[in-house]
Amino acid sequence: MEDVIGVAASSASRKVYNNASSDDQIPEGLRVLVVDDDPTFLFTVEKMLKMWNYEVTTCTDSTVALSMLRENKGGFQIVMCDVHMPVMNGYKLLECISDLEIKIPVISYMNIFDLVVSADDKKDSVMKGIKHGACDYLIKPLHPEVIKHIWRYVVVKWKNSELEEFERSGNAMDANRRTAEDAVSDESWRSSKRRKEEEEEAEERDVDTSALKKPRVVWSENLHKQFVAAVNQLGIDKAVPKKILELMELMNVSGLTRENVASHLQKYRLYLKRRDGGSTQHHIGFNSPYMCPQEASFGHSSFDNLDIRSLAIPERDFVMPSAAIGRGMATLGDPSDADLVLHGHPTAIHHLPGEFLGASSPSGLDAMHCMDSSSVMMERVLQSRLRGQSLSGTGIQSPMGQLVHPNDIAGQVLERNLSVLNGRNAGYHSSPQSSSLVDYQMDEIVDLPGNAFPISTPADLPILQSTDVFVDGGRLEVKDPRGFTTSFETFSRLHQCRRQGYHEFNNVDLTFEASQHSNGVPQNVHCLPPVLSHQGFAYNEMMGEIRNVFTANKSTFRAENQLGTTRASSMRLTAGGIPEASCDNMVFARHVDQDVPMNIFKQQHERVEADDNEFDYDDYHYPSDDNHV
Amino acid sequence: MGSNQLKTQLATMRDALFKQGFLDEQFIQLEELQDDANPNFVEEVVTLFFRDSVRLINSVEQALEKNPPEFDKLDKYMHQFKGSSSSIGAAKVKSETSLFREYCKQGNAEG
Repeated sequence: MEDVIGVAASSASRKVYNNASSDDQIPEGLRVLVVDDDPTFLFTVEKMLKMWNYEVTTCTDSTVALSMLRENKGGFQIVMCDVHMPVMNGYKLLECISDLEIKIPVISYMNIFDLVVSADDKKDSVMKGIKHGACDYLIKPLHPEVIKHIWRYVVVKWKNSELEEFERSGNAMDANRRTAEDAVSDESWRSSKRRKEEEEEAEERDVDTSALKKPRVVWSENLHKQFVAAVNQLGIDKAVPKKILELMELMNVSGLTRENVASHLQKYRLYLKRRDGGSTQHHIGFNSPYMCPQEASFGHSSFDNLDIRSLAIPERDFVMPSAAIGRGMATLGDPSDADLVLHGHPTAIHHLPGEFLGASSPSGLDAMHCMDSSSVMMERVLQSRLRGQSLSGTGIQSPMGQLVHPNDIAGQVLERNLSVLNGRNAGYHSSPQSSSLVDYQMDEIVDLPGNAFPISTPADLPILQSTDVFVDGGRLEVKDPRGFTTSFETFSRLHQCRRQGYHEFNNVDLTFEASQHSNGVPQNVHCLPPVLSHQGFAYNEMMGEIRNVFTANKSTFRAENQLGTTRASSMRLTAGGIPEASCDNMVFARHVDQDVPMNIFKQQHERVEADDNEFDYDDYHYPSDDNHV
Repeated sequence: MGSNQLKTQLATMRDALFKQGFLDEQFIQLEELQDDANPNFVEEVVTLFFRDSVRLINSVEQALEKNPPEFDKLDKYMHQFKGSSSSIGAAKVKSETSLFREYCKQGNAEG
């Protein structure tokens, strides 16, 4: 009775499986293949799955199942199989499936009574299942609720593979193409992720047992707003994570842990501090310090000031920073560029007023929120940057602009930065889209470091991201249209920030580096957005990296220099860093794995050195960075 | 009236089955799966089960008739049977099969 059912059903349910675009089906319409020798069970499971709008194909024979999988590579998105089957053992089936190189999650299950003696057996069986590549291991009888949530494995798998793709795409990716792809996948990821998040938030968070990293919390604009509202309600001094969390939960925010809140709070506090502290100097030194660095090393300090100030001072002082940046970056020579950049910042800051998020830069910020549009944002950021800076002939501008965006993307923190950046970006006109991604990253990174948005940094960061740009020649000339230079600027900004002791900056640096590393800038950028959107997975990674960077100020700096080096990891790093930066900055900082960042940076650094960068980032190598570390 | 009576009878029987341990929670879940779109879900599942078990029981009988009984095969059948019965919530059947399997392991033909 068996196979017939399965085969018939499968042909009916088989569809073309399009990776990037099929998330619109999640969770509905997921194509499931169930393999079990027990027809009664199959029938039951099929019914259950159909109840949750899955498309089911059942099969009692493993060989038939395999052939079905083979025939239609995209036919199924998830496989469930029994491990105790007469013909082919479930484990074997698992192996065969992985041989087929189909990257779909497989859930194996078994009868509980098959476990012979004790709990140990159960554990062994489970381990065996996992070892053979199963995403999860369930016990019969299967509960409908469990069945309902198997789609999460698919999402995870998708995210993973997207990320892998990004990494692989590495350098020589066609920027535009990637952007487009990324945009699509980002969209899909974002939507699926969102959907997933929505669902998860509604129900108890059932963390994937598969090899998923703990999902990162993305501090979206709304979330941040709620956070800020909660904090304000409690009073900034009295705001403790626990109470904030309680308040936020009252606002129907779920899925946050105290830790998330705590880290975010820390970042927020830093941001506030920076903002308040910088405002005094805002008008003055903002520009000059910024400028200085350019000459020599972008006056790190000024950078910081810049950042702060830029935050506080809307646009005016930006000019300087941008100039500084511009100078430092590639074109360098034009103070005006720096100004431009700075301009970007001030505006951004302006927007930020007292808001952690400084969602002032509308475009950028909004973009930020939509993680997905990170790339877009990046571009915007970059653009704004670029505009701000009349980078002399360098593509920096675009990077800058982009940077701004990325920051936004990073999330709330980013928003702030973004606003700053956006302001800066104003100066930038031509921010190549690609660079925006980078910028975005950068920005994010920058923001991440802390509340004190190193606005400038963010912008810079994005630029860096377009490491591709860097590769071109170390100059800001962004390989990507984006304006590598922007990255550079971001980079310089980062440094500045770093100098100031911004941890955040560090993160930014990290991000920056990351971006740099990703020579295939477009990719990097893209990666980030998807990453960002996919919060959980990517972010974590990025954040981790960024943080690492954070700790390793020095390394970051160097890494930045290494713009040329395109590293997939960088990309990820950046991406991860940025988005997470907002939320996880705090956390990250805490968990900064100093060693890791250092290593990363060093590597990056080395790479950079290898690159024949006209851009002499070494100038940016602020000794002060060491202090930060 | 007639139908009410039947329904009452049905409910009573059902309760009895549960009380006596013939059925367990899994059965309830199956019932939950039944809805307007699938009005006869439970019936279908149970029918399937019966059909399958008839087949199994026949094979078991055959295996038992041999001398000595083929315990490996019996074990396999029981395993399957156990799976099916637990899927539909036939608790008692499930426990019987477990017992049966124990005997198989011991080589206890009498059991």
